[in-house]
Amino acid sequence: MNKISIFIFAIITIALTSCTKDLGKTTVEYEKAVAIYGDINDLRSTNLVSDSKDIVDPGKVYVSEDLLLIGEEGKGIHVFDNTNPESPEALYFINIPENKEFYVADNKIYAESLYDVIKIDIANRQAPFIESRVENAFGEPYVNSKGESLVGFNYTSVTEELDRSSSIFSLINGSDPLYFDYQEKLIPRSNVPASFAGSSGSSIGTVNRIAHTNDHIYIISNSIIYTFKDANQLEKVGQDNLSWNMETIYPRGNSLFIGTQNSMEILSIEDPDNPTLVGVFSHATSCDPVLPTENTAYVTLRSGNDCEGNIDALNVVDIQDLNSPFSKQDIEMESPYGMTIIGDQLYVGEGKNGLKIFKIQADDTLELVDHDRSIQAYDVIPHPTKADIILVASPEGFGQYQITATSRTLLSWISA
Amino acid sequence: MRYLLLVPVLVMFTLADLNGQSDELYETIQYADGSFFIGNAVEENEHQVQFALRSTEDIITLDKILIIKWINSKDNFIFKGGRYHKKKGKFSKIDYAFGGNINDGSVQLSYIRGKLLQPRLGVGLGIGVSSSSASSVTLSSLTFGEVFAYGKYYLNDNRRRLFLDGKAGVAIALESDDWLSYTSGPLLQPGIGFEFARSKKCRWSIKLSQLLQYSVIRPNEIRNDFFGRTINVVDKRLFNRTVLGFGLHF
Repeated sequence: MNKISIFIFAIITIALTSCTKDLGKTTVEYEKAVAIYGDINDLRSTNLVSDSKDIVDPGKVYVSEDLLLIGEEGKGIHVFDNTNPESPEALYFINIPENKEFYVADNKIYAESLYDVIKIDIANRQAPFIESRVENAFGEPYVNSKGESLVGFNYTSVTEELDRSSSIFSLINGSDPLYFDYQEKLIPRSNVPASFAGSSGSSIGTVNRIAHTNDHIYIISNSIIYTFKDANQLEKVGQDNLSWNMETIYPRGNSLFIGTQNSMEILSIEDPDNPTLVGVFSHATSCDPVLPTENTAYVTLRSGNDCEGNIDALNVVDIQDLNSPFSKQDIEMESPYGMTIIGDQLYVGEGKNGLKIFKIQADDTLELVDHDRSIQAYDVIPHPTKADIILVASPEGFGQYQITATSRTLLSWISA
Repeated sequence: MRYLLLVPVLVMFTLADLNGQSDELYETIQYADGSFFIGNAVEENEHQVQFALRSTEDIITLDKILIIKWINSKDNFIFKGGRYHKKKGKFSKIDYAFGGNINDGSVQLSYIRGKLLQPRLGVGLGIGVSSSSASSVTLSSLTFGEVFAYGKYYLNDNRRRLFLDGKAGVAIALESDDWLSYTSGPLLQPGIGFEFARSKKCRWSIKLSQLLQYSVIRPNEIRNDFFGRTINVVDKRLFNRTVLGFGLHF
């Protein structure tokens, strides 16, 4: 009879547990992105150039022999005359609605804008113009009941009581804002155009999402790689679902190196219209800027606010065999962001923890030679023609430094 | 709706037991030579007891010094095979329970010390520890210490004794920290179960109870939005979980 009692009680327990749930409400403060609708053609007709303005929300940085370009999140690009790095001069502002990423090559700026990819000619520094535009490169515009197109998002911090079983609550556990359309319905993250959902939160770092090589442009979103042929006019030639959580793209020869939160993926672009996966190097979940050289790729892994995982490290990855990359050195770091190679030295930004300089040995492994904690370094960019000048990006602004084997001297500072 | 359908099942099961015939009550003496005598004591002095056997109605004389165990009906409900339930005195109980609801689970371990005020009514105090999940807001388990008043009421005097019991007290947050903050809160846990008579001092029980407990959970684990700002979550939660418990009484 005891066994029967146990059995009956167990059955009742199982039945009741499937019928009940905890009660109460959850209050969540999160970043809500509410869709803004408008006439997309009006935005496409925005004047390209306007007067220079203050840097409010800096993004991507590019430096050339005479120009310094600093992205303004969602708005465009600040253009500076950097002929004299000791006193850069603000020239004008290039308006690019909803821009978060851009890439510069051969006096052309390739930028995402709304649903489009645009190519801006800056050969004449005083009169840039849009040379080509691929409309709806990232998909057809979202429209509301009035036929207006989704042209942006209004980000606000909201505090709401949510039901724990709601789809909104389950998504809040992620690290991205939640996007809502005109009916207050969630827009799936994967459906938000790359231009709107760019990873600019981590653009203080070597996080290029656009690469230009072999007369082609490659742009990565969270999971898709878009391929464009760059003849006189831009032409979209393909898009492929590749991997999840793609963050960076870096070209080298006939290869593309894609950094994701779990791996470095290597694509062959021997057929430039059709990138093909040839090798994968898996690593612990973390943010992942990649800097490849001839035989070696340097990969920084970062934990923290905008990255999952709890690894902070610098991996030295042998890529002589692209089909089988492997790690040959792991270096513990504090908070690594972007990096660059100047001569035989690797400069790695450690964010608020300073700037580390490594000597690259004969076998491409690294030896730490200096750690300058006086410089907050998120991205480190070399000057293209002056080997003794680097530009260091931080949330407070941008500094240009003259470097020697043992020191860094600040030449100029642009506040953000 | 499914919950309501279970109620008549439970009621029928328990009513069948409430209406069942009670076993006869008599005394049991276990003697030093291994014998069991079942009957009633008719007379006793300091050294001996006159014992009327139930089966033959003969009266035998037993030396108290040779009595190993004497289950007295004044103090116990006595059943066949020497099984009994206490009618009075103190009791102790170790209770282990586990269960949950459709989303989360809980595990409890507690110790209760009490006294039977009446043959069917016992009260006591208890301490315990529990671990519960709240998977929608944190991957970590929430550990609580329990301090509570305890009450039990027996609905019958059968060998399989039906009871209602309840815990009322406070669940104390034990591992709240900057990473995962959660508060202490009131605890209420009504239950229904069976306690089984045994010839030995220890007996066991099985029980179904509903854990009701309140806590405010603030997970501060890595949880950030697109701009690196912490997403603040305040979860005011009333735990509502069905647990199956096994008790050891002594």
